[in-house]
Amino acid sequence: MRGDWRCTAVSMRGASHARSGTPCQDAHAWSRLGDTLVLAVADGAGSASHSDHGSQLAVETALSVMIRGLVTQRWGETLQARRGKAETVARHAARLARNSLFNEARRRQIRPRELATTLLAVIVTPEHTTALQVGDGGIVCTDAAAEDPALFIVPERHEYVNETVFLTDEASLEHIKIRSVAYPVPRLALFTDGIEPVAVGYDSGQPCDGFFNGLFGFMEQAPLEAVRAKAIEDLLQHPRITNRSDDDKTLILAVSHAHRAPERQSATTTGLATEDIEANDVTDCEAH
Amino acid sequence: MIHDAADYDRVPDLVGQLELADNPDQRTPCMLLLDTSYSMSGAPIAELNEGLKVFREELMADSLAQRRVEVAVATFGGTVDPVQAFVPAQAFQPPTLSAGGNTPMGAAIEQGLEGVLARTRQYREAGVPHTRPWVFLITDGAPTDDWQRAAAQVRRHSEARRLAFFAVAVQGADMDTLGRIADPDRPPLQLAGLQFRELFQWLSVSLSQVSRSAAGQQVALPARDGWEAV
Repeated sequence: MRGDWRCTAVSMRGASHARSGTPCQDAHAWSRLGDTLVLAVADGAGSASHSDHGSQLAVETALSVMIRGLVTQRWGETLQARRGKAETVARHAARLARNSLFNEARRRQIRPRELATTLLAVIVTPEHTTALQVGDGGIVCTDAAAEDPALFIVPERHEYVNETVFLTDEASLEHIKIRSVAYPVPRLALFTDGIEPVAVGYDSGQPCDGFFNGLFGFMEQAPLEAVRAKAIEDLLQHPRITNRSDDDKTLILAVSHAHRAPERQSATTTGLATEDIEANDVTDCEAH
Repeated sequence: MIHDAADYDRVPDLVGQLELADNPDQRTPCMLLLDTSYSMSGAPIAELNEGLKVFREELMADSLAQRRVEVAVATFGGTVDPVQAFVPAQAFQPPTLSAGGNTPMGAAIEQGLEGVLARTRQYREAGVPHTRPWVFLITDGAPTDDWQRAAAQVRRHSEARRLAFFAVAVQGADMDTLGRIADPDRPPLQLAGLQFRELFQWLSVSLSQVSRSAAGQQVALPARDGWEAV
């Protein structure tokens, strides 16, 4: 059975912000509705005073828009229409996330720039995988368990590493990258750019196979969420990672179905009415 | 499914199981163009040399910046001397400079700009992420050579965002000419007395901040009141 998602997400404040007493400016959110999974990560701009709020608001808004968009699908629609709708939902999620930042800026009487953040989000249903990306960070997946991990969206290349597109930028909606494929990917990772130095090759632009395959394999073999979360937290604080980047780091890993150690089952029933809806929007970062 | 209590303790050490991407450090290049003409003799050059030592020490106190910040040095006193090609701060040995000769500032700037642009070209070709390079000019005089071409290049490359040009005037410098050479959006700053130590302390902190990729386009640089003459 497809779906049956196992998902673990961690956001970790980096040493740079720990030193300066700045809160973690990364955020993530995810939700499982039966066979469907929605995920989002965001990285607040380092130079923005309220970007921790910006990134949290962006992921929460994107998630709720994506969930609403999926739930309102009409069963009579063709597959084509539903897939086309998914891309529309994704674009809508980015636009409404951006609007929410502008509204929040007005409410707080600050410039929108002070809430600047990137945004990456993914919807996986039994029929498609659809993702959006504004700014840096990455979405990596495998097409089938045997294949090598690849970037689902190829991000824009910028001349300078400390510059990227933020959702609050004037032209950000022109820079949204959206991609949809007609199948559910079985393994998925979302991450912010604090992970990039150890996860993606600079010259090739390709994800490091041994990094992602190792993590996906771990996800498939570890049955306890508490253990998975702790292992990822330890990883993100390990010197071999922090040595390469003292930036905030977020990593969400998701693997579907079971050639893996069985989960500790809570009562789940299929059918729309009583879906096991698990929303996990951890917005706190671990102090480092 | 019954789980062993021991399962709760068995948190694997993931790092040992994963391959990490083998990437070079990202780079934050800074080219120092330093006036070593005759008028810098005595206390000024001595303080400048001390400032360079402070520069290195401060960068070495930051474990990421010492690898990411790259330093090159060229002096102009009589001739233009490429004292130091780009090296990571951790490999930078501050030179002991001596003063003498006139002030070929125009030539020094042209060569400095060329060096910095060549460096970013190398980064691009090797896929090394980098921040926008800084060119940091310190002078106590006026150029004794033709500087018009250099000024045009500073303007052109600054506008194209290929580099960020900073000019610092030590007392006695011809601020008027320096103003025409520098980036119009970043007029020259005046050093208070011979506070080179404070200046280089500021420069090292600024470069460390720039080297954090989280910074975003607008880096809030530290206050200059430790060294700037108002």
